[in-house]
Amino acid sequence: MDKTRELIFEMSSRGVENIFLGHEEFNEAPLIEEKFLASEKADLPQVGELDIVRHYTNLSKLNFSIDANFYPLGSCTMKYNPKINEEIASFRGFGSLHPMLPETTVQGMLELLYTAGEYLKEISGLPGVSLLPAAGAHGELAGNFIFAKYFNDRNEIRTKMLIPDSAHGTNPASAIMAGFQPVEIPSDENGDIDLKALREAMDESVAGIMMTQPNTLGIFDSNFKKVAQIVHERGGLVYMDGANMNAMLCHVKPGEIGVDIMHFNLHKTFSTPHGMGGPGAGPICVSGELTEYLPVPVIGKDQSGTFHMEGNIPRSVGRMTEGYGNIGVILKALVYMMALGVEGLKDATDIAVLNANYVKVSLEKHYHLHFKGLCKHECVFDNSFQKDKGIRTLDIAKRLLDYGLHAPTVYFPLTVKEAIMVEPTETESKRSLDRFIQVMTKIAGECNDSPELLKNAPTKTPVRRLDETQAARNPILKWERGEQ
Amino acid sequence: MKYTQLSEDDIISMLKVIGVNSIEELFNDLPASLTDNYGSINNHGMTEMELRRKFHEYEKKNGTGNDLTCFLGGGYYDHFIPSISSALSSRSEFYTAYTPYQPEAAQGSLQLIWEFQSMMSELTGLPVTNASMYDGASGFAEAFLMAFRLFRGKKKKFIYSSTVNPAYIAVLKTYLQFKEDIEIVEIPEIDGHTDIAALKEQLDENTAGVGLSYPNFYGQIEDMEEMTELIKAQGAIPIAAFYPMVSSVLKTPGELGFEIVTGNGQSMGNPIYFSGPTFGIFSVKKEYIRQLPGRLVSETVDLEGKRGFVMTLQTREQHIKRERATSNICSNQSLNTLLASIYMSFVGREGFYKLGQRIMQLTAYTVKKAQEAGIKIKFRKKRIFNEIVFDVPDPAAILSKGIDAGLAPGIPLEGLMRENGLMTAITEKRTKEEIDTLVEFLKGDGNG
Repeated sequence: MDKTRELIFEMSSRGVENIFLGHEEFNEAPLIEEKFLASEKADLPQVGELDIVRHYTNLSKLNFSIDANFYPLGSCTMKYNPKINEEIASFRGFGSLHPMLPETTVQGMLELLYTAGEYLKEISGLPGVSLLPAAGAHGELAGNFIFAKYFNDRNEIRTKMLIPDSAHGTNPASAIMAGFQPVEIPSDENGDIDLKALREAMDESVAGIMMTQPNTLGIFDSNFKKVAQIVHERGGLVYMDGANMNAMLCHVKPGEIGVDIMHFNLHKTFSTPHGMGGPGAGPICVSGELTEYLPVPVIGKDQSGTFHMEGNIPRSVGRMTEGYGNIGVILKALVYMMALGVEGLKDATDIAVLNANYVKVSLEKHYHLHFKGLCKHECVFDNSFQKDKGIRTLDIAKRLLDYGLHAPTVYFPLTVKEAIMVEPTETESKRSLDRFIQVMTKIAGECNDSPELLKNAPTKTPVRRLDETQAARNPILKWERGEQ
Repeated sequence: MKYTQLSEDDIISMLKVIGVNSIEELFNDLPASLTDNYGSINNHGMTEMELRRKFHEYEKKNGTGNDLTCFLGGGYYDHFIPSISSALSSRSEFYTAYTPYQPEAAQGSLQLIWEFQSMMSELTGLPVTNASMYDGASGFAEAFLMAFRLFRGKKKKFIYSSTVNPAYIAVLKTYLQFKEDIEIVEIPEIDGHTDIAALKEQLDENTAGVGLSYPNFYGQIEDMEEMTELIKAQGAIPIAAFYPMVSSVLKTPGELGFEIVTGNGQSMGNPIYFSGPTFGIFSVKKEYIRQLPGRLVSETVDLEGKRGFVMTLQTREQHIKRERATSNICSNQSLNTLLASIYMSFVGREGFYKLGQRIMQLTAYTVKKAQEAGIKIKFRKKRIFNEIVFDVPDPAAILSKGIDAGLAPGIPLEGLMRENGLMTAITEKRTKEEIDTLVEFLKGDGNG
């Protein structure tokens, strides 16, 4: 076995321990009755500090990451995570605060959270905000609860939620958790929502629509305002999945084009780290009419300038989180918004869209482009040009890894067969975009000349292609003593 | 500031390749903005120097909040965190990677999630642990949704004890509020413990799940085995809200008969951070795996037979199953589970046991000192792990006074629980001297 890939359990030797408790004598016996005590110690590893450090350091080296690799994962906005965000979030005065402390002792924390909320209100063009949701999908869930509560209070029975076929999978999954039946609305040949189908589906049994804007093809739905109008005319509400806000920061405010509720993904749009899959944060912004439904607690500011947590809001959908949300993430997003300012945020969007269009135009000779017009922050190719050589999108993705580039998002959106979804983000230099274009072009050539290079890829990663079928059939989910 | 890195020349040449004259043209498809007013957001941004100054100001505005001796618990605890935690978790190969969609390029993330699953299963006593939920409360709510699915929606009664963390109960109610025809029942308490007779009365064939807290929110260890047996005898699923630190010395919830275990993982190496980010623990017995929410990593082999790790059983998840997924959860709290893995590796088998012993000893010391000082302690003395409820007049006032004296003596329970009192949490970070100071304070200023 490759020593850098040893399990922490395999490094364990009986009796090895790290000392962290000071010496102290006690005369008191534990209070707990004997029958509650464990008969055996929890079988955690027994590894010394240096070997633990080596273990995790070695593991880290097996990862691709933004800091080491171009990472054009579509719909995920893998932009640079500025180091100043991390530095400030590690200030001792933030990390040590307990949520049950009296408000007088956490005024600085409450003020910065309040400020983050105010910023998101400005950017969304919507007057209500909750920072509580812990992730985008959690924001969607909060939004759907608000829909449900709002219509309940109005004695309107609306059981359906319209969702375009290009939506993130979280949208229908969230709608159903709030008791709605998702109804899929097809896209037209331009990737826009099919207005005729929308008109037919929209009636008084529909609570509203969940739209991603720009959509998952990376295009701004040219009929968006029309869509909002159709939904509003029949008494419905418009939810915007803000996963792709990086394509419209300080260009247009969602609240101005008919959105009633939206969520932000702070880990996408506002550069907080993705952390291998969280923590993110999914704050929501809502229209004036919906503000009284926001989850609790809500941060308020009174006339004297004192901040407080308001937990008693009669129409609120209730509590969504154990505490006050992913505070550390919100703090980093605030640092980012302050660092950039309006001009910097607008610049981020400008360059995100420029970079995506540059990649799109540069690669469209070599890869079939699903939608030809201008894209926003990302573009979607597929394997149509390579298909007859027996090359699948998966092969292209794996071959990219051999060149030290992370693969784009593949097989999403589901509306495009064998999709390759590229989101370069604004923080990449022209040099790194050109390298990606050059490698993708070279791979297109390899599809003709030596397809086995793709079929066998990757070969330069710590492991080759993995057997996912075996894992699903007979999952091994934890270490068992005696294995090996 | 900005983090883009194109020169004017780059932009000109890229626009030329695209075939447009300006960046504005790329936005022709967007509706015109009605405003360029962004309120309090500054126009030009701030430099690193300015940002440091600004956030140090916020930090200072917390006043004494940063420097109190912390006896607060209630779900978030002031435990020791080894220095290797921040040193290792701040490696950007970890924090700037995303969900391991390409397993060959993410073996580091996948192996450590798998190691996390293994170690956490050791503490929960159940064999299947997912790669985390957002926090304890949302995990607790998801456990009930899972119980609902396991009975295909046919059992519609959900029961919880009033001794469960009130935040968990509140989130549970939020999550269940739009489920039709279901019944949510609270079991009352007697002297800080779940009323077992009342539980027996409520349990029936229509019950899907019962939520209990180990230890309960008052810090009391209840007679769990007796209750989980009753629950299972009725064909319902016992669900635990659990504080993982107890598994250092007490029986695991799995051993006590729980079939779904949830809880807040903060105490495992994560800073309190005003409540988040933390992570939610979620472990189940093997038979329930197909209804598990969230991500799961399995060991497997690559095509050369080399050991590797992949995300598995993804057909449960939203990106494949959409509205038929087990949950909408997508990203979770992976970086926080890394902190927990580092923590569990560091304290290790012997250290974790000694840690539990130390907590129990310090708690026993606190109880003895308080009793000597004539301060009354609520509920059963032989059932305390590390949280003690003091029967003192006006706990809210005591907390305020304590803060002026440099310590946060405990949480006032009024408004949170049925019984009032000042709830004090003991961790290994507290010293005898600090405890003496606390007791002196409660005896003197606290009572006066």
